[in-house]
Amino acid sequence: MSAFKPVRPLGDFWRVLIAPAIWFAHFSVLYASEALICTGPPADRGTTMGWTVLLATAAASAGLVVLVAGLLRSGNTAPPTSDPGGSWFRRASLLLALLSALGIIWTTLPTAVLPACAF
Amino acid sequence: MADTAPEYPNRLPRPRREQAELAAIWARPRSWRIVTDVNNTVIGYFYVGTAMLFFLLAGILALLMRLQLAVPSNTFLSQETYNQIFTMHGTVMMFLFAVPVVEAMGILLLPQMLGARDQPFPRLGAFAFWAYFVGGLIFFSTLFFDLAPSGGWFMYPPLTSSQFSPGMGADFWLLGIGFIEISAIAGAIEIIVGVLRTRAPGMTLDKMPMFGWTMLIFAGMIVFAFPAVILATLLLELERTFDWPFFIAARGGDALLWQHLFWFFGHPEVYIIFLPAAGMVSMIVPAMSGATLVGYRFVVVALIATGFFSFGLWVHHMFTTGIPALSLSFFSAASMAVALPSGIQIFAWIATIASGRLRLLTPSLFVLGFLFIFTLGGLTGVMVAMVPFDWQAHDTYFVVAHFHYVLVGGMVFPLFAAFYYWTPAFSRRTLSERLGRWTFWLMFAGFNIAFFPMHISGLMGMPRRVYTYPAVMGWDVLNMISTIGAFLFAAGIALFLIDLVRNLRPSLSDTAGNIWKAATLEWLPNDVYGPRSIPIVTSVDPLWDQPHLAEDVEAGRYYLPGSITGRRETIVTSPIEATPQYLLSLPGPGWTPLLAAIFTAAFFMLLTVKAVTLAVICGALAVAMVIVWMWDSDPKPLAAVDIGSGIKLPTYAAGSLSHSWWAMIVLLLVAGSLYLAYVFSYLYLWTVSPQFWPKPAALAPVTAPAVSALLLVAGSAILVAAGRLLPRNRRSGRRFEVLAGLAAVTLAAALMTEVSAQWRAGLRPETDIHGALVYMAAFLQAQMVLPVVIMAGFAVARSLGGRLDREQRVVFDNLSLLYHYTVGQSLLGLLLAHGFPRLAA
Repeated sequence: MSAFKPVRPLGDFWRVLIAPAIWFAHFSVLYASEALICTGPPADRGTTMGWTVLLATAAASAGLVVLVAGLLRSGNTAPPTSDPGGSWFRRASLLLALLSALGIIWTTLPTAVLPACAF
Repeated sequence: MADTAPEYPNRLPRPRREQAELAAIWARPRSWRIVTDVNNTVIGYFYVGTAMLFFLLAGILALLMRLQLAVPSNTFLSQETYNQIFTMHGTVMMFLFAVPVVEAMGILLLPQMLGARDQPFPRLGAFAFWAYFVGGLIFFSTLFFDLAPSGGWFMYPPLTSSQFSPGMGADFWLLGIGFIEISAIAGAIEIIVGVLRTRAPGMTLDKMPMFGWTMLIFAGMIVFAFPAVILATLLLELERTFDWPFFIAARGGDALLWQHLFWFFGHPEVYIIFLPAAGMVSMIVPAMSGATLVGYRFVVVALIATGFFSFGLWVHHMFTTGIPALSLSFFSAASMAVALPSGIQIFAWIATIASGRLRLLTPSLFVLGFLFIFTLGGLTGVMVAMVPFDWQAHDTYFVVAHFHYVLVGGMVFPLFAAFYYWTPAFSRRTLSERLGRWTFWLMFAGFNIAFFPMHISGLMGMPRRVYTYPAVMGWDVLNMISTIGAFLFAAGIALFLIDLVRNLRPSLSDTAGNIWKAATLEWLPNDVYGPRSIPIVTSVDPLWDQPHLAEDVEAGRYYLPGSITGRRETIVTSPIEATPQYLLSLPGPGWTPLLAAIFTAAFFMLLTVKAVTLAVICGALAVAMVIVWMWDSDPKPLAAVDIGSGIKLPTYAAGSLSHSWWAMIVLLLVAGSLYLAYVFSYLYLWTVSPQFWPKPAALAPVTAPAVSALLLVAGSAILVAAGRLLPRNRRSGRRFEVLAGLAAVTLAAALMTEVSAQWRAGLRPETDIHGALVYMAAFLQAQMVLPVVIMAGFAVARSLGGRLDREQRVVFDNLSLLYHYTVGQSLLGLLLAHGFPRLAA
């Protein structure tokens, strides 16, 4: 068995999926909030939607920052030459975090220019 | 870059009869008994052939439509026939060709490409194929009996409700397609477990062929996308049969719910089809350019991102349904964002071509055709992702042109590239280069002549799905050009068929071989058992970076050069690092998968024609067949065996090490996705019709759900206790059997308690949407309880037969997973049915 690397924890694999999952959660919260807020009283809609967008985006951004910080820290403690597989997963996770951040910004932009519940 | 190659695991010369014994163990059944074979190569051939048959049939339907539209005011087809034909064309192309053919290519190619001897569940693969084959043929034949659906491939209610589509056509679609989706999910489970657990030792995820990555993501997307449409078909069929008003506005339902559920599946479906095709391109381009794929990591990242982003696009099919502008903008933004990862892949292919020297042979021509057509389709995709443009183009021929550019360009052209590319690995002769070039140019020219003018006819206002049009509209010239193009395209397909007849000679032991000098393992010398020995992989391009690999594998220097246990075997490896973990015994040919598929298809089709008694009998027979096949699936563990290099592997694994445990987890993800789609439907309909939710006083008293919840939790506890009493000897086995049976009864009792409480409270499913949703939760719970009860009975029977104990325990582990999941889902259902109305009030 010595010819092979020890079994890597599945966490490495799941960690790759965290950033896009954060994008999807942010996206779902924004879409669901709009649907729910539009069934509420008309007067509060703009404010409620504004706060929801702010909180959801802050939470998603914080999630991405924590993820990226963790990835960078583990990259510093384990140089790529000692663990090529781990380094590959870290870099893939970082790239996905970047793409997901772009997705989050892109999804949030319309809330700056369009009012809630308008047709 | 390759890591250091390890030493050879086995010494030469190998025993004289070793290879002959291996061939005998993996021998195919002869003549008509070939239908009982379960090996991936045979099933893969059948699967690809059947998918291509449906491609041809749906293509003929397309030609009939083009003939009808060639001239104005044509009477070649009646309106109703035309409606049936366009519905069947779309349905067959999407459900019976596009998804099955990529799944088929996965089943055919993946084991060889990953260095496995077969898929991890050969009989499940065979079942998935036969279910698709039988169900698909029955579904298509409805066209000849005037029973075909006519509501469009997306079957929107209220047009497809019993009021406006009273015949059986819609029922055939709902039950037939629902059934075929189940077959697709079975294939997806096979692929996920196969890719993650049966790769050759050393083939870490970052060294896996790109086609493996795309098939993994493809199968993952099926797991999360298909349940939404399965739920939608269930809801509509229950409405049509029992008048549960999910889509009837007068009783609180909403027709738009169908669109949400359908497109939550339907848009990822586009990428479900495209990603494997992109994977094929990522395999073909490096081989034809003689250069390693540029940006491997970037491409993997792009694939994962595309998989996720594709789930945020479904409303872009619903821009004209009156959804608030801000909501539309979220989906518009996601629709544009998905262009980013798609672009990464295209640039990676272009860079690979630039870094090598592309041989302009038939596979390359089809790849270049794909790049041209798909890019144009992507550009019009960005156009229709703009809400104001979509309002103008929606339901016109512009959209028809767009999605054909995406689907034919993004999937059919890569598929034909794949046929020309991989034929030498599975046939004694290659396909003809001269006929291949003619095929390509006819298809490429025909496609663009047929579909490019549709952009213009769409912008001129020609709507989709019209069976004819008056000459005064000025669409006649464009339509005639489209028809000529369609027949040119068909001529290309006909030439391809001639090429197949002349040159395709299926074989595994005597193939044309690696004529492209490609780098991946499917080009190793193969036979019915796959490679002679299972190699150690140290590079993403093993045949380029590991000298003499083919000769060494063929000589038997690597792992498992013969059969150790005298049965079919493959090595199960760890999911990330592909470290050998245990030796898996695989089943040989048998009738049970075929019979189970036939009886399952009969169950669904007989239900459609309301022959309930016969349907139930067939359903019971299908379950019986599965039980017969499962009886020998968990054999008694043998002593650890040496596969080479002194590596001793166990012959049995339980718990999370077992491949079977992984399959069950994927199945539970499917069940969870289905239930989440239901929860979404519940909350969505509440936002649409909150007035139909009763006041707390009108609800069933809380004691009923409390008793039900208590029974559920008690059931889980009883099953855990049963697990602790798994027999070591026959005396303690009795206590296990009693407890496992009691757990099953407790689960069923919890369901009965809930249903009877709702009934006694006066709630009826057909009265309004709230009642329908509450009973739907019970229906979904029953859908889980029934298999749990059957599995519990199976576990008890195995215990009685001395085939279940603390060591040989996979059946119990899987039962536990299913049981505890069912309890969790049922508790959530109780919370929704009893808690939510009180909270909302």
